[in-house]
Amino acid sequence: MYNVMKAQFYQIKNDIVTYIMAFGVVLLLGFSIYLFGTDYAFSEITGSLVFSHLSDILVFYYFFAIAAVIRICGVDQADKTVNYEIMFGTKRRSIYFGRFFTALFFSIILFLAMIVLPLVFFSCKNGWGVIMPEKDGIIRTAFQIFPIIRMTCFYSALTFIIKQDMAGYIIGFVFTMTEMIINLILSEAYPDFGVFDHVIPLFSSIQLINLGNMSLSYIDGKDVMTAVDTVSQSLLTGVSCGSLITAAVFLFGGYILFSKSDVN
Amino acid sequence: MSDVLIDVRNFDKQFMKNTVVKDASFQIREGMICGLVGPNGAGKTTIMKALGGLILPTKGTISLYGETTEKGLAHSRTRMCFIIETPYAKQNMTARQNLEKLRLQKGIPNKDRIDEVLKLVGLENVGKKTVKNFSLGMKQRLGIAGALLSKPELMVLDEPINGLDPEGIVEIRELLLKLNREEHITIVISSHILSELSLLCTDYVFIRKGEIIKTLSADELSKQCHEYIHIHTDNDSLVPAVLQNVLNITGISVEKDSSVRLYERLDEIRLISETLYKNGIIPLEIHMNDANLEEYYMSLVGDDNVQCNEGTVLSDKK
Repeated sequence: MYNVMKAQFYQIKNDIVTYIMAFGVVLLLGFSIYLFGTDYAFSEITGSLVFSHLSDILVFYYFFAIAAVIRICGVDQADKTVNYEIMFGTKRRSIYFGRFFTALFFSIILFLAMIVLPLVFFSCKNGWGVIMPEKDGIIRTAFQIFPIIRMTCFYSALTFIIKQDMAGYIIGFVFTMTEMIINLILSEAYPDFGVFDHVIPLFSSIQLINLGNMSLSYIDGKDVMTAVDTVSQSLLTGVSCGSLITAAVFLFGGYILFSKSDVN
Repeated sequence: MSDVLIDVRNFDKQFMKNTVVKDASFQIREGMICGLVGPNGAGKTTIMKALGGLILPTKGTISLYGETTEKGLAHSRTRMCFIIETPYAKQNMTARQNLEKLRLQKGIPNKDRIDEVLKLVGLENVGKKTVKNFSLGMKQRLGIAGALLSKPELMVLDEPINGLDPEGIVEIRELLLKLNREEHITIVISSHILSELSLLCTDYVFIRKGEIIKTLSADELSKQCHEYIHIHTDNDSLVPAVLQNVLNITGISVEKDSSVRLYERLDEIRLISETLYKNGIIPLEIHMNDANLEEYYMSLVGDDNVQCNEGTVLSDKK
């Protein structure tokens, strides 16, 4: 499995798509900061302010991360070079989990670059701010790992089942758009839509960064919106357990199907 | 230790309810160049894919180096290499990058091996050209380079000369013979270009409609085939009478195209040619036949199911 990962890293390093994706991420972050700059002075952008606007970036994060997972797991299946890994004696387990862990690594790297880096940068530059407690922000950010694991498991399994990348991109795009629309409808109709939000990665991620009730506070001579509630224990438990259980089902289900199926 | 490297027993493969290989059994021994002979759709590629672990048998067993378990088979495959359908190649990478990825994936510590195999297949000077700009022959050679990276003992090649120009076919043939003779690599090769297989193989497995109909060695094949002298002249109708009267040759047959075959005095082509000439017949073609394998195959499967195009390529009649 380690050799599969090493080979994958080498391939990613030499893949033009990696650099196009990195350029896209930089462009998106630059554009987001530019938009922030139209509403706030640069010195006013604190870590907590960035956090309160994370949902926009988070949606784009999922688009990028899903594309990365599908490319890592699917491109070698599309051009059939993965067939040669099997024929050269690499176990299917190593092929599957080697790619999964590589995909997970890049999903996390992308998360650090798109979500954590802006938070850390503006916190260091202008402080955390007053919109929400710092500890609450750290917990909410750290728990994003669970939906990310689940998303990686789902799209890894999907790509190994459909055995190509192009259909995976289309399915990933359609799924994500559908999730966003359902999320919008349900969050308007039912502010707390229960167990459903723990099964779909984007729902969980948005629930985690949704600050809930906000109130207007007067701090340091300014009116600012601040979060009333901290993240609930039940949300954290639901997101982590729901994510891990469904992730395991996707991951091992995908592996069983891949290991027992013909590769043509 | 047994010299049987591949032992396939009662192998069946069904896709949905369609049986593509039925009760196939054969062995590949060390040092062989074994040709899987059959028309398109006969099941050659399916058998090779099963050897490579790409498809799983519906019934029967496959043993590689005596191993039959999933783990044992995977380990045995590290001593083998395969080229099935498209050769290993990432289109946007150079030859060297492709081999480097493969080296990492196979866990081969020696980086110099890449230069060795590039030189062996004649791709050492392609530089930074990406594979998408390679000719088909170069891609095929890159596939072979990838296959040779881990110094395999056994190569399984599916139609390795398909689509190559004559020069490319000769290159690949010479490379395979060199690998078999100098590197002692056992080779299993499938093709429906029989004239090429006859220049390579030491053994044959004949397949038709998913069933193995015959296995035999090249020696056995040559014993079963009749060699003959093919004669085509400016007046073919006179040839049998002249040769019978002057040289007392009786083993003569006249073909549909009016050319003549002699089954006797095979080492006297010069004398036969002179005799014809002296009797006012101008020989246009006189040569020993080199289509034994094709004709044997035709006699084996019959004309009703298989046709021979220009005596070289087999394909199913639709």
